[in-house]
Amino acid sequence: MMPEGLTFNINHGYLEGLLRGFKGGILKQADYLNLIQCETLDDLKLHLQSTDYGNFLANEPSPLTVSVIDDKLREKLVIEVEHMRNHALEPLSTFLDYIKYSYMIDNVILLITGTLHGRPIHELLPKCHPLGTFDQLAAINLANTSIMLYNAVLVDTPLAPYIKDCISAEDLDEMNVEIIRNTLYKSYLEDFYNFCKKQGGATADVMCEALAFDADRRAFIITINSFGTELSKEDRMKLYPRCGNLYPTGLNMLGECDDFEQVKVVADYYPQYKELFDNSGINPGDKTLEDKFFEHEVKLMKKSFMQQFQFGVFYAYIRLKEQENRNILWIGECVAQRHRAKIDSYIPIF
Amino acid sequence: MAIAAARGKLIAVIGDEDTCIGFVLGGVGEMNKNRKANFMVVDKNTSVGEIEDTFRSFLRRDDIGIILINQNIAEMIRHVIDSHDLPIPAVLEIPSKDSPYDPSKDSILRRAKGLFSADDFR
Amino acid sequence: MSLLLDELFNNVTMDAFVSLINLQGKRHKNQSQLPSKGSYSLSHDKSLINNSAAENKKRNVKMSDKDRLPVFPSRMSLAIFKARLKGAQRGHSLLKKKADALTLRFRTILKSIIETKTEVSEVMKQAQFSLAEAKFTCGDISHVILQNVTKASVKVKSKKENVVGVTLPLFEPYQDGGDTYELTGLARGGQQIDKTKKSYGRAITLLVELASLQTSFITLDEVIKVTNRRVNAIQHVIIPRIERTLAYIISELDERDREEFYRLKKVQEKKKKIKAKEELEKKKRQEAGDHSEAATIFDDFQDPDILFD
Repeated sequence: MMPEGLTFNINHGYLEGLLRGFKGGILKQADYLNLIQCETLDDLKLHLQSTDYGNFLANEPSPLTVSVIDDKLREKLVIEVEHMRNHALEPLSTFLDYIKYSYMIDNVILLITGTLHGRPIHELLPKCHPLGTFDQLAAINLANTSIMLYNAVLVDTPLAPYIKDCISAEDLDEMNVEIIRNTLYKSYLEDFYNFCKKQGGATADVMCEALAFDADRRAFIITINSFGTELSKEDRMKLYPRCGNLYPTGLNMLGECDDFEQVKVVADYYPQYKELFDNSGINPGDKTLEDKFFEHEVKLMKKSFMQQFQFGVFYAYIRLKEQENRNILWIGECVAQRHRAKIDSYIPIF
Repeated sequence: MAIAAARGKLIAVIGDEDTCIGFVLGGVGEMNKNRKANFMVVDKNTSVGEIEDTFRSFLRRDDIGIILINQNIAEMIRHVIDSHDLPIPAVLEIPSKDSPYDPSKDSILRRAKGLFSADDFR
Repeated sequence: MSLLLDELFNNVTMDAFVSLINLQGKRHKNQSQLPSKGSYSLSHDKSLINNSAAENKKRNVKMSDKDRLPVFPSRMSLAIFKARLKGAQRGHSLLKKKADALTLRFRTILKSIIETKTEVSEVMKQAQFSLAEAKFTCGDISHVILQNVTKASVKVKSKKENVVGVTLPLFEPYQDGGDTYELTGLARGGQQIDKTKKSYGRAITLLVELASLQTSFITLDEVIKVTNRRVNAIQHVIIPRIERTLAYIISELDERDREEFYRLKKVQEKKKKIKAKEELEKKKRQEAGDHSEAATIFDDFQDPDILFD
């Protein structure tokens, strides 16, 4: 701890300070209470102006739509992250790149899907998440078939190690894109986990917990969602990230599950997940399991701010910001559709 | 036409992004051999002419049985919709997310006007 | 194609119907089989009207009371026209019944359209909200979904339903092939997406139902208009014309009766005169003592011209 405390600020002190400043701008419970009182989206805009968002919607013509808010929220987050990335030094820059990889996976999947269905790629590029752009994206115009996409573009991307590991050019045509996505994500999570572990110190402590949770959550959700689909148990096993608390015994048990009750039995072995499963329900009014996971994630992320001199805060901030964007969009949707009954099922952060 | 009927017809959608996503999720989306989709996402940058062209091309396709269109978009090309008086494909106006449904604008219900009192609409 | 065929078919039945009305006298037995089916256009009736109008112009008579079919007034044509009147009236009542049945159906459909429309807006609202829920859980899925379109898994079959001879198209949704989005949201929000799929599936079922109702509505609207026009044409054009023709025939026949009566009277009178004259001559001859017998038909007998001299 001590050497970190001494040297961390030399390289990363500015960014951490900046980030903790950004963190102060995350909406509080009081802000949410204001937001859910809104009658129209213009009201919402007005309320957002009084928060850290300022006049980010000022130039948008009325009538405001939720998708416009979505775009603007994302734009704001992208600017912040890009700013930090540009000022980051090793190894923080690599760490931030790792965070961006998850967006890249989504973009690559989108491009693969588009190419498989013969969409012109220049049509797809604007739809990619800006955080997940990479240099090779510009060159993707050249590729028209999936083989070309694989050979010319994908193997050069930062994602190449994951892609090479799990899929070949032929697989692109045959495999379900969702399976490709989850395979990639699994390799990515494991790699990220190992990277954090290598960093050691507080970063490893915080990040490994966060990533382990992410891995476990994926395993649970994939298992639950795969019931009643064509996904076989062996294929399912391959999608579980092997870096969480569930690895290896829990994952083996999950691999054998056939219905929700059995998943619950597996979760019962892990006290932190048992609680989440126990409190969730599928009845209207109950929080769903995924909501519970989100809440738990928020709790974990908030905890990471308790430690100084580590990279976990950057990851946590981006995660919390994503959650906040979803919250705002949710409230926006509820307001726009005049569906107020469930407006307060957003996930409060602070 | 008999063959087309045996094959089953498609449901086409013209609407905002969410409407299209919803119906495509529901399973109506299809790409034909010419890579033409049977749905059209209308955003604020879509011109009225494009909507009109797409609508007309849907009308011409004999594999489409029903066309769903958001009411606010239908408003933009009302004259085209009103001039379509064949029973197939059926043009249905559906409410969109942002604008609630207004029965008085519906082509069909306007035809029925006078047969029913205004109270029946709500 | 099939629309064209329908039209053709309708024209054929219409021809049969018209000729039935026209030739009613010869076909009493078939009356019960009058085709209630099919919708014939008014072209025949129109051509009839046009013909008689032209005729009227030629004869240079007033239209209002002389608009009748060109016919020679005879007892034969009286009988024919009486039968035609009967046929027309029967046709009228049948068409009227058809129109009533259609209107009844029309109104039920209209009612259920309004009901379904309200239901649809409710279901659509739920569906849209469930999509918002799905987006809340799994972020922006729109592009992935829109890019992943291949084959439609929900399609509609069209069937036909027969209401008093009008074929109404009916749509029926059916599943064709598997779900393309089975694994979407596998790692996140799969359940919500599933919910969204289900609620949109419900919306689609309802909308397809609404589409059937709506096409029926449009078709029926058209057919009812045509039928009503036909009913009115029979009631206000064809039947009055036949009636006027009948009146004309009857008045002509009456006139001829009176003429005949007069003619008979005239002949009788003349015959009486000749008889009296002959009696007088016979008497004179007897007085003169000529007792020869009256001439027989074996003599050179000349039938006297009674009428015209």
